[in-house]
Amino acid sequence: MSATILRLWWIGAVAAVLLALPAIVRVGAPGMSNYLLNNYGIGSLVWVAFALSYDLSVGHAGTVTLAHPAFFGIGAYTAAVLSTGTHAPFLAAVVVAVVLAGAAALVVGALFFRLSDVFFAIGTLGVAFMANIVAVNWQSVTKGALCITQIPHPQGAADLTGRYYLILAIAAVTALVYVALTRGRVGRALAAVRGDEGLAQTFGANPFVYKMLAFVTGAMLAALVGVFQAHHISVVCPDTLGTFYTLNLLIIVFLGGVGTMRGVVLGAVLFTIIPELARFAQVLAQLVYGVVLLVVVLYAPDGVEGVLQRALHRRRGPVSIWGRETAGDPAEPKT
Amino acid sequence: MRISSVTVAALGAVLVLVFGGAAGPAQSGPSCTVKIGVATDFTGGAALVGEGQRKGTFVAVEEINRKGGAGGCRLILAFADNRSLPQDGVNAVRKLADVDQVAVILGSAASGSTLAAMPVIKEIGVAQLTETSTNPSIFDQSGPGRNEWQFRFNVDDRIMAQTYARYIRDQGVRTVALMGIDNDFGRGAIQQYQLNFRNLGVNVTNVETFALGAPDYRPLLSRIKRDNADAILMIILAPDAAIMVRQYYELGLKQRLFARGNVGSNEFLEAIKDNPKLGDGIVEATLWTPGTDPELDKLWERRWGGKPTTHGAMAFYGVQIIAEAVKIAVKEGSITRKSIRDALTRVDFTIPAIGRVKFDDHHQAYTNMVIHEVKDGKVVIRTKVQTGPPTP
Amino acid sequence: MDFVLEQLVNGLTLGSLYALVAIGLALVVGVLRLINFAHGDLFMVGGYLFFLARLGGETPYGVAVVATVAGMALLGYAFERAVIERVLDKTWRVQLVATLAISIIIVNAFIYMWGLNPKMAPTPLAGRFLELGMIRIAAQRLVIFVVAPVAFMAFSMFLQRTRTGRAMRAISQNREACLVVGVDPHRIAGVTFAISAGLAGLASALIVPLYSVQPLMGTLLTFKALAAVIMGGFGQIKGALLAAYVLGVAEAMAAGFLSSSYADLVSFGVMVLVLLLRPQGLFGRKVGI
Repeated sequence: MSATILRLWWIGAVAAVLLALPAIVRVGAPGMSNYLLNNYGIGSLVWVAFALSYDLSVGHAGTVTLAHPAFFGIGAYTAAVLSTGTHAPFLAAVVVAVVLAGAAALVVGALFFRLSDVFFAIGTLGVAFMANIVAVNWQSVTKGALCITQIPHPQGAADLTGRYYLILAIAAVTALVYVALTRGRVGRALAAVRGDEGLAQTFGANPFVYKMLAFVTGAMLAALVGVFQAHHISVVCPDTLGTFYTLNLLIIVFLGGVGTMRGVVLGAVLFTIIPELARFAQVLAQLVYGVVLLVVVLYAPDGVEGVLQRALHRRRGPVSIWGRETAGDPAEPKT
Repeated sequence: MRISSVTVAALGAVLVLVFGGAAGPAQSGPSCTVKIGVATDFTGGAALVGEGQRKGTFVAVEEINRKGGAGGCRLILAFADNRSLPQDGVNAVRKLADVDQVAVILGSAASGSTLAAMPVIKEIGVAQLTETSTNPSIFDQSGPGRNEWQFRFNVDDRIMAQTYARYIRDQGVRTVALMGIDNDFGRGAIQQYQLNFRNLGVNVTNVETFALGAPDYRPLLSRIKRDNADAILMIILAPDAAIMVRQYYELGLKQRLFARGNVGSNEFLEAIKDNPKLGDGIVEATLWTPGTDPELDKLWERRWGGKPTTHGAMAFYGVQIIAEAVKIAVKEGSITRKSIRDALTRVDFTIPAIGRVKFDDHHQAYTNMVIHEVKDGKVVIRTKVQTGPPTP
Repeated sequence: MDFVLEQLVNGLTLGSLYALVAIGLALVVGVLRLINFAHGDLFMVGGYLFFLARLGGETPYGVAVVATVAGMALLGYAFERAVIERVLDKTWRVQLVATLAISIIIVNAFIYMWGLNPKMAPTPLAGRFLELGMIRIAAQRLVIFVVAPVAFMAFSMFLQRTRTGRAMRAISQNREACLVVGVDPHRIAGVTFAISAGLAGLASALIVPLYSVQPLMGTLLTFKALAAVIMGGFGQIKGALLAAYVLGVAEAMAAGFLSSSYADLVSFGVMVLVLLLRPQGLFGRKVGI
């Protein structure tokens, strides 16, 4: 059987399971079906979409950004403000949020892309901190620490199952955009930019344009997920823009397999399931989490994806260069 | 005299052996068990609160079971961490409800988590009683016709501010500087006190916020010193207050100190024990004064050593209130999530340390507000005020 | 005018804290090319070490300080050999995640050991207040104002006069050339980390008496120190030092004249501005530490 047909079989099987999940949990674990659907099903899909949007910048354009939660936050707060203030429908909130996040990403990208590598990361971290402070202090709009509450569920997807299918659709859209940008010409151009900007330039791929493409698209997708989250949880607080999300994104993308779709998806699912299971021995769970992270990053920097590929004895797609560049200078800043 | 837990267990075992055998063959244990879910912050920014609450609930459950249970039913605890994040507030509640199958929930500590959990408890049909969430939206959104599953027995600053602001003014204060934590508790309180002081004709000279745990208050205090109000009202928790008050003296401030939080607490006294005079004169309005519940002190000392924290005490009383509801439900003949919810609406008893517990049509119990003062390494009650519904 | 002066003093106080923590980070960044996201936690560990060393007031302050510094230096050395060694040759992204993971481990280990309730370790000097004109400060802060520059000068002399110090400077200036002549970063990594940790220990021994120790205190400090290191010119010690004081004063002034909520905004805002406008740092270009 050819590789393509095998792959299609896999995709078909996964899609079938995902579509049937609500029914499966209802039959398989009737008492716990809502818990499973919410904590694991919706939980994983939110992180899958969020992480894929992040990996566009980090894994494919090679720009490690720490400002991603800010765009998620823009999405969440836009939806919160619009739906509690003006009773705008879900789709309207999506459009506005996505546009706002895209615009913000354009500004951030334009300002910070001139910086190299680690300085870009730290600069975007500064942006994330500042966004958090704005969310807490701009009380007239965000209600600050008192949170925006009673955000209605999306019309037509008000119950848990409906919301599950909504996030499934969003994750699918994210996956499609991800595939579109990472295969074919665009994908190759991104890879070239990631590998060596100067060289890419000589081949006609303007690094700035491609980095911006990945960054802005990622930001818009993150905002989309944020809109969903606002309507799903019904509450938006400034912690949405906190460092917890940044850390989790790094962990998922890194331990999953940065730059690979399967890796990132697996990472998102794993790092939703594991903390959920560990909702018992709290502080120790965090400790173990940190140890696992350290061990993986040191001994398997390609993450789960790398392990999988080695186990399956074949390579599909580009090998992540994350762990493989020569060590050394975080580089002098570009002047 | 401190009795070790081992001794207690041994004595208990002996008693059971001696008297258990004497009772009839049907006496093998309680005939019913009620599981209480505790959703709180075990990790994250407010983890200190969760630690205290866990201890408080343990002590309460042990004592109630020792005395025969709630209405004859044994109480068990299940815990879930909401990591101080709203969506985890939802996840924690779902875990407790669906996996642990709890009959009622005590939680969640942070208002964001409680508010996020409210739609879910309504969907699932399980009552949640909060003992520390201070966001006024909880009051607004609870009760028949709104969310009938949410209950609260701590009063928030919208309820307290009217009385406390007047009390402060009656102490001769004409101008006041407000400083509070940067979270929903602090910000919410600041809003309420600004409003009330304005209505009372007290001029608010400063409004300052600070991050929880940030150690440096000097710039903020310098501003307050410059603007020279009569008094400072600080909305602050014990660990930060212990540091802030040192810097207050360091800068030579002379304003009268009023507080809202848990400054009058064992934790605060412990943190200033190197110089107990640091606390002298701080007057605070809060929900509980340490030392007013000797039985709790004894139980806590025996189980955990040391003295109860404020959040631990509130969790302790939370379990007692739930136990009371269970008792009512047992008398009615059924123990289900709905019957416990209904029983909560009929609860009407008094816990000496905090006052009368009876829920109104916003499912709010108006427990006492205590105004106490720190003096000579102790916390001394000045007055207890019966609280009532917020005036619109 | 008094108010400005007072905020200036507040700023210098803050600045001393940031400076003591930042130079350790600058050293590690400059010599080892490692951005240690767990650096602030060294300060926290030092705080607990100091708390233990003081034994509730039994041991004299000076002894406790020395014990803390020495203890942290040893811990730093051991830590480098055991853990950091493995990260030194990896890409900065790996180092980023690895040091973040280390931070998670350290913080949670301390939460587990000590709980979240802060511990106080006051000294007599922390409670004695001096009046200098219109300004009142605790005597302990004067100690900081005096000891910190002395420590910086001692450190500077170490870098200029000793063999190890010169090796450190050489490595930070031109790594490849050093490898050619046989000066190996790995061999002095241990000492570098030990000094970095020792400086963090000194910082906590000087500062903890004024505040308290709790497991979460290091996290925000890491970012402030990083901001100072960046503003000072990546890996330059003197630059980081000056930048730390500038940062402290800027924060105090922002808190004094705008509002305390915006103090943190100012730190990160300034850092971002410097990154965007003058990425080589505020104090001009220099190679090495």
